[in-house]
Amino acid sequence: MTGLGIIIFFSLLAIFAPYITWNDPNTTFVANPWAVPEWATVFPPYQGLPPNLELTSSNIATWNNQIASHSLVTTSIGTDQIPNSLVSISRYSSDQVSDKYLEINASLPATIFPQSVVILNSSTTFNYNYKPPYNFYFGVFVFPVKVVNVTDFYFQFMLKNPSGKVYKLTNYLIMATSPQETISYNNGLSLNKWDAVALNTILPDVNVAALGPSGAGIPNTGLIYLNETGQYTFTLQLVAVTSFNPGFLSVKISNPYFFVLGRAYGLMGTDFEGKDLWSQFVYGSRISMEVGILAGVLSVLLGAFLGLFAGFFEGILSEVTMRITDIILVIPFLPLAIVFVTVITQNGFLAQSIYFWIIILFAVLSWPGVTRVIRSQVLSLKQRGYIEAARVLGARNMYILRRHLLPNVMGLVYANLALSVPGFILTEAALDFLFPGVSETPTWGRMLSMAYEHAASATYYGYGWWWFIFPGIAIVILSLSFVMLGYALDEIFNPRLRGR
Amino acid sequence: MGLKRFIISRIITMFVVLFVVAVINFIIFQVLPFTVLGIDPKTWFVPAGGTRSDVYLDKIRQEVIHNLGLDLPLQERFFQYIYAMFTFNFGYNVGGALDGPVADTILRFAPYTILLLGASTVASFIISIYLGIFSAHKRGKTFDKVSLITLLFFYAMPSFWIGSLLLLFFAFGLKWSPPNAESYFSGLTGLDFVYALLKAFLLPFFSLTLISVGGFYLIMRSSAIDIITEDYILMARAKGLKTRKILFKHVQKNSILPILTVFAISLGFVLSGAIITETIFGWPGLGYWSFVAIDTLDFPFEQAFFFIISLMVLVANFIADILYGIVDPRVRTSW
Repeated sequence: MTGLGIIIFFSLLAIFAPYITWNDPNTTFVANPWAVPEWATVFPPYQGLPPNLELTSSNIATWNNQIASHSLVTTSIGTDQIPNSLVSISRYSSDQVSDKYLEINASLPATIFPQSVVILNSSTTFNYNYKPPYNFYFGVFVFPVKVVNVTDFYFQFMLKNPSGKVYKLTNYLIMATSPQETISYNNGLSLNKWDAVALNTILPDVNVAALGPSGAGIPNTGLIYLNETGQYTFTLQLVAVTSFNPGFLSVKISNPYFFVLGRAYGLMGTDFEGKDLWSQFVYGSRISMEVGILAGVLSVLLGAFLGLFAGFFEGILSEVTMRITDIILVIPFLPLAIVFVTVITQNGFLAQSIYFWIIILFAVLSWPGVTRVIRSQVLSLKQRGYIEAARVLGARNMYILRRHLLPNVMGLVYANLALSVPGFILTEAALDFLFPGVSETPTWGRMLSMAYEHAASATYYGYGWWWFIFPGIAIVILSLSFVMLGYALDEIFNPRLRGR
Repeated sequence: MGLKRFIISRIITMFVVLFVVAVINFIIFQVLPFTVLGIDPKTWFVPAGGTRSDVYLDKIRQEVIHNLGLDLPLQERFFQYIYAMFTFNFGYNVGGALDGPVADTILRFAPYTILLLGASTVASFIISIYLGIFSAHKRGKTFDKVSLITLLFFYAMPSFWIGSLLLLFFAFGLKWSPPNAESYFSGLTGLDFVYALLKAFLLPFFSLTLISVGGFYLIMRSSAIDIITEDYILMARAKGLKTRKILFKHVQKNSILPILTVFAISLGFVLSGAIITETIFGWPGLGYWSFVAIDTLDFPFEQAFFFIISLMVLVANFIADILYGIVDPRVRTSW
């Protein structure tokens, strides 16, 4: 009964996968890499780990906007429709995004040499009460309205920690994205178009980040900048660079953000690239169930059909069938499956439907076991009196097969079906483990394969237990529930076995 | 039918089956890839290093194609192949991972596999006999329930999962043993080698034993329950024999039959059984090398490997049948 419940649970997971997951299983950095499951934060070693945090308000009107000492600057608040494409960059969800913007109009003096002039100083405070994060995202949306005789303009971001120390976040050395490339007007922004000045602290090489909390000698920025609890001040400065002529600058800014990548995320945490493991897990159940059940049904159907006929009609064909079973039972299953997958993946066209071919292969290689069981059952049933009676009454072969033999072996067929599925689930997972790159679909085997590949860095992150344990447990439990179901069916149809 | 005739007829059947297996291997490794799927041997032959000149590469390719007999018509290749297989003349490795004659590489790496698989099969065999008998004895009690659930769990556990967990904790975490066995003891000699080998041996041995103990245990337990409920056990109990004596004299001897057959058959799969475990721990046995060979499309190695596995399985089945007759005199009447 439990077995059936578990099977139904995983079937529901598989069917409703898109509705019970919040992320595409292949999206990276939904949280920090190696984030623990959120519920694990109740346990001491993980207490106080930050979840994904949006620390500042998206509405610029609520910020403390100070015009720098120049009297020729005016600001005003307005509303505008923010393009959706920017929302995903900022890590705001569509309902968090604010339509408020701040318009800045500044007249700049003419200078002989280009000078950087701070035009706007916009700041907000937030309380941070967690352990330090590894990484954070920050930035602002920009809409240049009018840029006349301005050499360039750019943004600076500052963070003041509770003890009063001020860090300049746009420091080239510790930022993954270089300020020169993305921040300034001359590098990427265009007139009359909303764009995002987006920065993060994630090191470009994920593998470096995976070497441990401090990477390869490069400290994780979050560990340094947010290592205290208390009130922080996040400041954003608009800086214009003057030119030889008197200039004018008009810019709209909106939705500044400071987003901490969680070290605790979701139901199952994240993997080494910050992919959501829960959605991988849920989508993974699809392949396991699909391959297990389809291969089981195919092989048992084939096996039962051949077993019925081989048992009922004793002749040359039945003899041939049994010899074929002898041969197939001698061929090593897993090595052949591995060879098969390798050969299939050499052919790009066939590799697209790899799971279809795996199902076919499983069915072809495993019907002999079923055939043998069914055949011996049929051989013994055939000798029973009621079959003889039916024959005396003039029943034809097909009638006896259909009405007398088939119902009697159906129990065995169901039991065999349930007992063969776990083998297929395990073998499929093993194939995915050995060939993780075969397809993009996440599977339990592939999750474990990736976890195994990163076992060396997992030791830095609490052994990455959330990554190793859940897919493995799921495979075991799903397989076992099929085994239980098989035994239960066996008992129902073979009452002699009861009490085992 | 006497024993002699039984053996002769079984040997003849074995040869027929082996022949058909050889034919199937031929189709898998020689017809399917090149003819049906259109894989060009030139695309899969990657020489080690890969820095040699094109002329040299072409020469090697021609040599490989000639060695594999790919320049011959199919039927000629087939007869050559069958002859080669049955004379154990398996040709040369291609693909760059392994060098030299296939027969040599198989002989070189087989001892590692036999050591690992043999030891773990025997260990799990012994453990499961004792656990199974005790479980049957304490049927329905806590001991039985706990060991049944635990071993069912082991039984359904994917080998790569338990392998990577062990590797994670004991090799990477606690550093008790090396993460990659092969690089750990290659190049060592004498006692150092033996010590390193044993140290690297423990994890794969433990993981394989855990995996295979479940299946044995389930069979052993159910056959021991069958025996324990027999009248003569009740009789032995009634005449005052000690439980120990009943369990290990009467029950063990009689309930060991089914598991003995399974044991013999699983010995047949010793060579192939541990591809995943060997790959995870980098244990340089045949399983590991067969995976490497598949990766580098070393078909001569693979077809020899498959042929030898099938041969081993057939021989093991044969031995199991004979063994069964020796242990259980009742079976002999059917010979």
